[in-house]
Amino acid sequence: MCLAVPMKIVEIRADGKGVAELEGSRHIVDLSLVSGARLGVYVIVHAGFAIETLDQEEADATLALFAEIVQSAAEDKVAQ
Amino acid sequence: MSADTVVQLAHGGGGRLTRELIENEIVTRFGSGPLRGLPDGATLPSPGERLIFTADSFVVQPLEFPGGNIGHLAVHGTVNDLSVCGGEPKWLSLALIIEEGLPFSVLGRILDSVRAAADACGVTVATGDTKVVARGQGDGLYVNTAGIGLALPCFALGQERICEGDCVLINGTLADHGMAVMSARQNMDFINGPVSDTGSVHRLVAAVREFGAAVRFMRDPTRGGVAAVLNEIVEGREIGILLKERDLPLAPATRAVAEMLGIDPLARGVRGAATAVLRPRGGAGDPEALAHAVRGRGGGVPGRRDPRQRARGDGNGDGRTAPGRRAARRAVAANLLNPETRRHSAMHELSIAQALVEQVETAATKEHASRVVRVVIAVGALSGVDAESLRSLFPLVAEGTVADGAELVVEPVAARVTCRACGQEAQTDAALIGCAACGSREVELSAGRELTIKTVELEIDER
Amino acid sequence: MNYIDAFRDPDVAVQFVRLIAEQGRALAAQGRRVHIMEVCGSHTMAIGRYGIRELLPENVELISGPGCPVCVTDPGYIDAAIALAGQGAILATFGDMIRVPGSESDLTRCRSAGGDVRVCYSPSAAVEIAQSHPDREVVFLAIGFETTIVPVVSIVDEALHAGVRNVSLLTAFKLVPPALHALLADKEIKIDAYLCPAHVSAVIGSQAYEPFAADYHVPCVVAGFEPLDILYGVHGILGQVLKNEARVDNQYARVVRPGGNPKAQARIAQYLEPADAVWRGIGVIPASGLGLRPAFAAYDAERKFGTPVRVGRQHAGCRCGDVIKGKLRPTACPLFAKVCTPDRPVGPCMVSAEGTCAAYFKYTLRDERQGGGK
Repeated sequence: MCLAVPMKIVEIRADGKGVAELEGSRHIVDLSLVSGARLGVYVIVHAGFAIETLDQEEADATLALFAEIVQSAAEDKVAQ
Repeated sequence: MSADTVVQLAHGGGGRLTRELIENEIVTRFGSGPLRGLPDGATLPSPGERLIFTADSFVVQPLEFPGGNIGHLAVHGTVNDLSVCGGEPKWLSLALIIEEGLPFSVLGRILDSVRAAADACGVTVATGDTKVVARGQGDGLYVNTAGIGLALPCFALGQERICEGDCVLINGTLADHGMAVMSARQNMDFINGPVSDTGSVHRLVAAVREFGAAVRFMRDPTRGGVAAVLNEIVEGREIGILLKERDLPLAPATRAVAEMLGIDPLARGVRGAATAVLRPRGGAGDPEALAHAVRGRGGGVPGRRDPRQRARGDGNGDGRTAPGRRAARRAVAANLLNPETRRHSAMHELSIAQALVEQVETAATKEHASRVVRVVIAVGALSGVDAESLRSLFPLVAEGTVADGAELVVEPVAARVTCRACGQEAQTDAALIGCAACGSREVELSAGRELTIKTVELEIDER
Repeated sequence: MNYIDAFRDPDVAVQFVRLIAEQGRALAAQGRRVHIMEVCGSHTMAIGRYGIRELLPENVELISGPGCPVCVTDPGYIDAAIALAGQGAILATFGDMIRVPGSESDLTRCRSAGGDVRVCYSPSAAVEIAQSHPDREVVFLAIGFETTIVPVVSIVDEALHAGVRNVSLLTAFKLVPPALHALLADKEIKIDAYLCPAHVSAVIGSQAYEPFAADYHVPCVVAGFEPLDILYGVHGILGQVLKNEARVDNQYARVVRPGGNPKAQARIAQYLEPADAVWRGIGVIPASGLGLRPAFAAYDAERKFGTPVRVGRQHAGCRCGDVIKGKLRPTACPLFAKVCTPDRPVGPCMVSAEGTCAAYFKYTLRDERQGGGK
């Protein structure tokens, strides 16, 4: 199953594994499959492994697009 | 304490070692009350009311998990079953099946938890049994319980009474227990992971008592969670239940693990909260007000509700006696709380306010009174009741009843003792009980524990 | 910032539903119906859980394809696992395998009969179990698509580093792109567009879908698993269809890169090589699976114990194969919810955590189960 959740890296241990956090809960994840895993970076975690890093700029851009859609809908409504 | 570090088969053999285990582990914790002297069965006072009787077994793995252990579960599970049936939990049996090799330290911790939970819930472990099975034939420890409670007359519970317009309440967060046990079992090694919410729901039950017959149904959502409870309600019936996803209460750690595992928290066990289905006053639902009324695992204090229209459209409401009405006084002496049955740490002013209103209503009905003018109660210094809380709660609980608007007068009663050493009878400090004359602690309490209704003033219409 | 809740905002969802409705009307005006196939079990479940199907216009159909690795596993695989347990091996597996029906039995019944079957969240548990039981063999049931393949194959990595030899994999790894190809080539299945998986794509990259867009002229949109991601994906697909375009559009760019994850791909290539694979309902698809390279034969349970996985037998009335291909809606299966339920599953689609039938059963209203619904 491909279910994976974005979790923030809050610690990188001496053995290379990371401690990732979601809603205050922390879990140890294997970081060997991703590049650029640093403190504060979000990773997608599947079965205890980080399979990719989350590009926050892209995420914010997508959310901005969504916000625009809601905004223009509100404007359309006002204009009616 | 036992010389051995782990439980042996011989500890279940019925001989000397069995005696030792029982003396060291059971009698030390539960040996007062019906278990004193270790009779084969407990002799209990028959209350002359209907009883609620439940049975339960506990096989959780691991035995100890974040937030609790199998001992907590055993007491809370049994107490909660009695509570959601509308009962006041009183007595438990405790049967243990111990696997050879269980460390005494673990057994001790679990039994300490049973003791603490029983005390907190105000129930007595009245009888029990221990057996030991060979290594590999048990999962460390299995616990079986039976529980007895007194049926509370205010409830008329029945799942078939649930109908359109009713509301579903839950007084805690979803899935904490289920997720805590699962993450412990799978060695998922969370830091700040889910914590079991194991606890007693009797305060929720106390809080919904004021709704009396409007409460249709209660259940503690253990296996299968809230989803199982709600599905059971609609099974085979022409009704549906609408839940708002945003309103589902979730603790952050539970939510995190549920997201990671793709698990629906609605389907996982809850052990410290209960669901109740009830018909709100005023008809088609005011969930906010209801939520306030039963907020918090501790039963909570009812929040401020909007003033409701009075059910009775009576007089001018300003307290004056209208012509044609005869004011009558009735003195009703009633012992609100039998000291023998009073719970220690579980006593709560809300329950007392409810009991008080009930007693007053009974008196008013008997006299065909149209309303209650004043209630005078005596509150002893050692009754454990906070008079201030009671004073502020009473009008909220009385709202909508015949006692609505009644004045509550609290007369404090000082603690008094008779000294066995010097024979003097005098007042004593409630915090430090002793003879004022000679200082001896060998005293008998002659006053101060009461919680009684002294007078109820009623207004009775002339007919 | 919690990147989960932001993608579940109902206000945004409402707008997407409105926009998609407009697109649906435009398509209806051209007399067109659109069949979108999603090929990931996590999409199937999310679509069910958030009620997405019910929000789409009548002429836009979301079809579930072979997105669940458990569901496309042949019953013979379960038979082989049971046989290994019978020989004394400890089976370590992800949870949803344990009730999947084999030809005769399943792992739950195997466990009740004394088989040592243990459920793990993480594949690393297999190595730990092997280390605590040096006198027993541990076999990990290694099924999955590309997302899961990477963590699972790390078992071999860990075992090699720790010098653990009593662990092995019973492999049934499958690759998504060959299946997409096989489905498009099947004339009986109508697919107008693919909603491409989120995390498989994170591994293989969005460029992996270029051949389908080019050769079959189907839009391929990569979308995440959150409800807004899915709606955004459907909106993107319909936009292409209206303009008669067929492109690969990566709408999950926050996680998916055009070339995928090179480290993950390297880990796969290090230990695995292409192999033919049997897909329940579809049959053998050449080079659609992965097997352990000969150098690692010691970690391949089939070779280690000499127990090849054979093709098994399905229950006579089971229609999972057609459901997996998107030819049959679960609600149209005669056994659905009557004989075949999550408690008593006839086929894997009903029992797997991401099975199409399981999703329909769980998230459809009672009344709609009997033949109605989309």
